[in-house]
Amino acid sequence: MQRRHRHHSGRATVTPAVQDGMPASALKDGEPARVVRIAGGERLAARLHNLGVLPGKRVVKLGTMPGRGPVMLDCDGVRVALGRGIASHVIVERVEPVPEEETV
Amino acid sequence: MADASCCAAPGELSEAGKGSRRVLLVGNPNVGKSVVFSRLTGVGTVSSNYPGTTVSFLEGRMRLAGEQVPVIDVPGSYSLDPTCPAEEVACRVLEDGGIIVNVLDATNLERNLALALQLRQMGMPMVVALNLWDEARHRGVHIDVERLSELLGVPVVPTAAVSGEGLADLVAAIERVADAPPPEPLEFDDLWSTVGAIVSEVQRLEHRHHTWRDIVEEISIRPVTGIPFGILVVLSSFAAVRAIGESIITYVMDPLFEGVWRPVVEALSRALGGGGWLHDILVGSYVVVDGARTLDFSLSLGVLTTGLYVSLGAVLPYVIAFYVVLGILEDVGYLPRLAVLLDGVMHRLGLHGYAVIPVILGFGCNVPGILATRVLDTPRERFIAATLISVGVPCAALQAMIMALLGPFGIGYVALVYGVLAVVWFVLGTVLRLTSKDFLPEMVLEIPAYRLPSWQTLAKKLWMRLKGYLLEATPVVLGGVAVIAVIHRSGIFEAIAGAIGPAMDTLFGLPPEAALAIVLGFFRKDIAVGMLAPLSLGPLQLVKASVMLAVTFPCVASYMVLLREFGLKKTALATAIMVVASLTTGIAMNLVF
Repeated sequence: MQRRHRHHSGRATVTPAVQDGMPASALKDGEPARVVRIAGGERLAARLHNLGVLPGKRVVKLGTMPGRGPVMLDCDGVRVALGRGIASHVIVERVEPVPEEETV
Repeated sequence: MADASCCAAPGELSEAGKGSRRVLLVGNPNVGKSVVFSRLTGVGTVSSNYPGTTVSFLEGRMRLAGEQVPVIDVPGSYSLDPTCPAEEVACRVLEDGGIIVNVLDATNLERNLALALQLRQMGMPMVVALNLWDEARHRGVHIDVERLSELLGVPVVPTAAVSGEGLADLVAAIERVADAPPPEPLEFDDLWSTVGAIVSEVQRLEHRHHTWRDIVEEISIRPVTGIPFGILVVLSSFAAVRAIGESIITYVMDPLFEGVWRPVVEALSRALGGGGWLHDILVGSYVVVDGARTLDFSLSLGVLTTGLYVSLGAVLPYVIAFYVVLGILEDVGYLPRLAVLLDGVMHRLGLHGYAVIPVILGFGCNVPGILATRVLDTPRERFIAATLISVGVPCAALQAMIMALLGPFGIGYVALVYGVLAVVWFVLGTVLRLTSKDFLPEMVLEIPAYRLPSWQTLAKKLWMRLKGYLLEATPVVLGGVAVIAVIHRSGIFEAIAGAIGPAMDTLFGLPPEAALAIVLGFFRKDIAVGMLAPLSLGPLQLVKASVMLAVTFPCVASYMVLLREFGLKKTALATAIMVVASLTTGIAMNLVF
C-alpha cells in the first residue's frame, strides 16, 4: 500500500495531460474501460505487458476478492488477478459499453 | 523423479540433455505445453515437475529421424527478459542450444506472439506449434497459418495436443528444421507494435459463443459466486479423496490382505516356530482380538504384517486418491482460481495467495510442498510457507491413518483434527507475519481458461507420483516397523515411556506410550499413528495424539528437504517454532477437551 503514494506522485509528473485517467481498481464492477498507461516502473509495465495488459486494451473489472484480495480484470478475454496496489497503477479511461460482438 | 514424489530431490539434467541435438518445448504458462510434451515423449520421463509450480523441469525422449533425442519441457515463461525464477531457468536452458518448439495458445495469439518473436531473435532452429487449435476454432478465432509462418520465417503447425490432432505434422516439421540450416534471426524495432501488426494481419475473430465453460468461468471468478464455489470444490475434493481411498481399501486392499496375504504370513509364522526374535520382527507378535489369539495387520507390528499393511493397505489407496483428485484440479486449471480467492486470507498469514499451491501439494506429501515454495517471491515468504506446511499440513499418509483410526468413532472426530490444525495454522501464521515485517509482493496472475484434461497426461503424472511413493516411502515404513519391533522386544519402549510418561500425562493428558509414537513420528507419521492403535485410546485422546503428531516434526524426508532448501540456521529456527507450537497446542487441547 506504500506503493500508492509513489504512484500518485508519479502520475502528477509524468502525464498531466490525461483528463479522464483513473486507476483500474477504482472502476465499478462490470464497467468497461480502456487502458491508458501503466503508472509504474519498467519492470511492472513489462510484467503487465506479458499478461496482455497494455495501453489500448479494453478492460472490464469483474470484481474484487474480499479481505483486501486482488482485483479481477478481464482484459480482451484474458482474465488476470492483480493485487490492489498494482491494479491502482493501471490507469484506464471509461468507454461506452459495446454490445456482445466485439472485434479487435 | 524429483518433486512429484515423496522424499526425492529434483534431478540434474542428464548429459544427453545438453547440446544442440535436443528439442526444447518453450511457451507461456497454461498453453498445454505439458500435454504436447507427454504426446511427443514415450515412457521413461526422468524428472518431474508440477506445471507452473517449481523451477525444475521434465526431460523425456522422442524419435527424430530414427534417432532418440532428448526433449526438455522448459518452465513456462512469458518473456525472455526474466521476471521470475522460472523464466531465469528458461533462459538458461535456451542458452545451451537446441531445436525450439514454441507452443502457442491459438486462442490468445497476441500475447503468445511476444515470446515467439523474442525467440526468433535468437536465430535458433524453431517450429511453432499453434496449440489449442480446436478450442480456437470453437471460439471463432481464425488464424491464417501460412501467412503467420511467412511472417515468422519458421514452420507453424496447428495442433490440439489433448486429442492428438496435428502432432504427427509437428514431428515432421521438427525433423525438417533439425537438418536445415538455422533461420536468420528476425529483426524488429518495437516488440509490441510488431506483435500487433502480425495479429491484425493473420487473425480474424467472429462472434464468440458462450459455452458451459464460460459460465463456470464466470461463476468461479466473480467474488460473490466464486467463494461458495471454491468451498464446494474443496469440500468435494476431500469427499472424493475419501470415497476413492475407502473404496480401494474395502474392495481391493483388505480382500487382498485377508484372503491372499494372511495365509502366507500364517504359514511363515508356523515355519518360524510361532515366536522368537526373527518371528516378531518379520511377522510380529500375536495379539488378542475379540477373544481370539491372532495376527493382526494393524496391531502385530511385524514388517510383513503391519509394515506392508500400513504402506500398501492403508496409505497407498489414499495416496492414489489424493493424486487423482489433485491431477484433475491442476489440469482443469482450478488452482490459480483458488490462489486468487485465498489471496486476502493468505496475506494475513504473511503469504501470497499463490502459496496455496505448495500448501495443497503438501497435503499429498510435505516434500513436494516444501520444494514448490520455490515459486514464492521472497525468502521470508518461502520460510513462512515451508514452516506452515511442516507444522500444520498433514500428508496423505498421516491423513489416511487418522481416517483409519478415528473414522470408526465418527467423522466428527476427524473433522475436529482438521479444525484444530486450522486453528494452529492461523495462529502460527499470524505470529510469523507479525514477527517478520517485510514487503509482501502483490499478486500478478493470469487466470487460465478451464481446459478439459488429457487422460494420458493425467495417467502419466499419477504413475510418476505413485512410483515415487512406492520406491521411496515404502522401504522407510518397512524399516521403521522393524525398528519398532526391535524396540518393542528389547524393553527400551517401557524405559522411554516410564521416563517421559508423567510429563505426557500432566501436560497433554495422554498415556506414556503415546510419547514413543510421537518420537517415532519423526521417521514416518503413518507408522506412528499406527502405533497408537494398540493403546486403545478414547476418541478425544486420539484426536489430541493425532494433532500432536501432525504438529511436532515433519518426517525425516521433509527435514532433509528443509535443511537443503533453507540451511542449518533457518531449519533450526523452524524446529524451535515446531517445538513451541506442538507444546502449546498439546497443553491447550488438554485444557479445552
